[in-house]
Amino acid sequence: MAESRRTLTTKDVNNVIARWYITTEMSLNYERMQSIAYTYALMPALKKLYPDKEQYKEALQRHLELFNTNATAGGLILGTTLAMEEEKANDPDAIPGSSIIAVKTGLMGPVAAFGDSFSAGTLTTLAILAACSLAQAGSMAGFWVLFLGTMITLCELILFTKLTYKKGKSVIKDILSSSLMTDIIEGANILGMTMMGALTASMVSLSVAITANFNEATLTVQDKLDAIMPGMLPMAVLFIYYYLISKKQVSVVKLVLSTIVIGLVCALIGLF
Amino acid sequence: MSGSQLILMAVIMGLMYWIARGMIGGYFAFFFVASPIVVGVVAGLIYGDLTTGLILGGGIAAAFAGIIAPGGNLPTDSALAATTVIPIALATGLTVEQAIAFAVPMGLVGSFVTNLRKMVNVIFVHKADECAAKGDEKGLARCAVIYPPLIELPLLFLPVFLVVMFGQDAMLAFMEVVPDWVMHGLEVAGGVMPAIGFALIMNMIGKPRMIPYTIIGFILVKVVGLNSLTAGLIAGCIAVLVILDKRERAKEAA
Repeated sequence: MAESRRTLTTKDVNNVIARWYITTEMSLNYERMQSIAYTYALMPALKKLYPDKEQYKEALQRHLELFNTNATAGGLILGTTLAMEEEKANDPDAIPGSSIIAVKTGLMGPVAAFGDSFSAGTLTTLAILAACSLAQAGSMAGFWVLFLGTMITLCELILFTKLTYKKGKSVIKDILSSSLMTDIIEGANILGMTMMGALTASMVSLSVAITANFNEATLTVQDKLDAIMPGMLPMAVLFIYYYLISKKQVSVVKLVLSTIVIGLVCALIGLF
Repeated sequence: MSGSQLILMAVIMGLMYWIARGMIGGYFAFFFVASPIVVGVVAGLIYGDLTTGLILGGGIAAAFAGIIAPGGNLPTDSALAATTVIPIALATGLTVEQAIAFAVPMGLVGSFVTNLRKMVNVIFVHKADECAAKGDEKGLARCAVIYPPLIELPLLFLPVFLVVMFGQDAMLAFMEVVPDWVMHGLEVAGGVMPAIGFALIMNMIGKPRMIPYTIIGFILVKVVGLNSLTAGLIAGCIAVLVILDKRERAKEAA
């Protein structure tokens, strides 16, 4: 080939990342989910890679196929796609367009699962919970912790996109299955599980209001319960919910509604 | 609240909800602007009581904390709850527990609104197809960033605006007639509600074999009396020790 190789600069990649981050869910819809945003994000990069108008249109249409994943962990797919498009632009026969679609749709499930449990489930939730404790105590630090948590996921997107773009399409499988990654997730989960107990202790409140009078002595049921173990009830409530969610697959909506009903009934009969 | 302060509050809350659930600015809008803590700070500043706003926001955020959106489906929406309940709670002096109790049903309404949005946005998919076929970049960009927020403006902004504008009197009237046990019942429900979110997270991140960690965390705070941050530090140390030990054993086995 006489012409020089067409590549993307750091600026091009940053531009794609920014466009993706800002617009990911804006055009979210039931038919193709995030596909419009994905195409919009890639547009400047594709335009540079495909000076030929027909190839460019074809590339745009390729990315309008259904796409849905976790936005920040999705950097893994974004970088991989950029690497593949760049390869195809320089040698049209190297990769058929359909295999780019196949890689995208094949990865969006596992990446969403990883992202929803690691970045959304563990990282952001821990930031939110830390922020909650601080805010409930009236401290503005809660606001800033939340901001920091948001920025960490943005860094995750940037890091993942750049890494996968640089290393090409093979690296993503290594990342998802590497032992370092599973160790990090395991550690985060231990931290998360411990924090769920700690936060139940500080944020969930429930106590029995029943008292009994024996001549001159007043017996409070809650005092007796506290003597066995302080905060027994909130702990029990947590594990009842956990059981209902994990073993009985009860929906959140049902749990919320029945909690309100049970709360009202118990208040009426004076139990709590 | 009355007059211009009320109008300002209603407009800002409506805009915040539009940005948060129109997801204008991606996950920054989705996590940060949408958070009851941020809503509480903004509402508190407008009302002139930052600390109470922050405390109300923290309480509501905690009740919804574990509820994430797998696949973008929100089972219940803390942003609608916060933007409608916090201004009213500030004006009528609700306790945090009462505010949470009112926030929870509002959250269910919110999940309906956010699903409606995804239906409406389907219109632009076919428009985007046409634009791509013609190589019309500007048209495609409009489908991605201009049309969806515009069409969502009435859907997301208006309900919040109206509830904040007119909900205050309704809330005061409601508090007049409602019997004590109903308010107490809602407080009890609000008090245990955070446990639903925590249980959801436990179900997602942990296997049953990890339950002892939860019990350790609980005891550290409730019985030993440490604060959550210190408990978190201990948990972090335990996590590091467990992982290092696991690696060590894997190395020996190899």
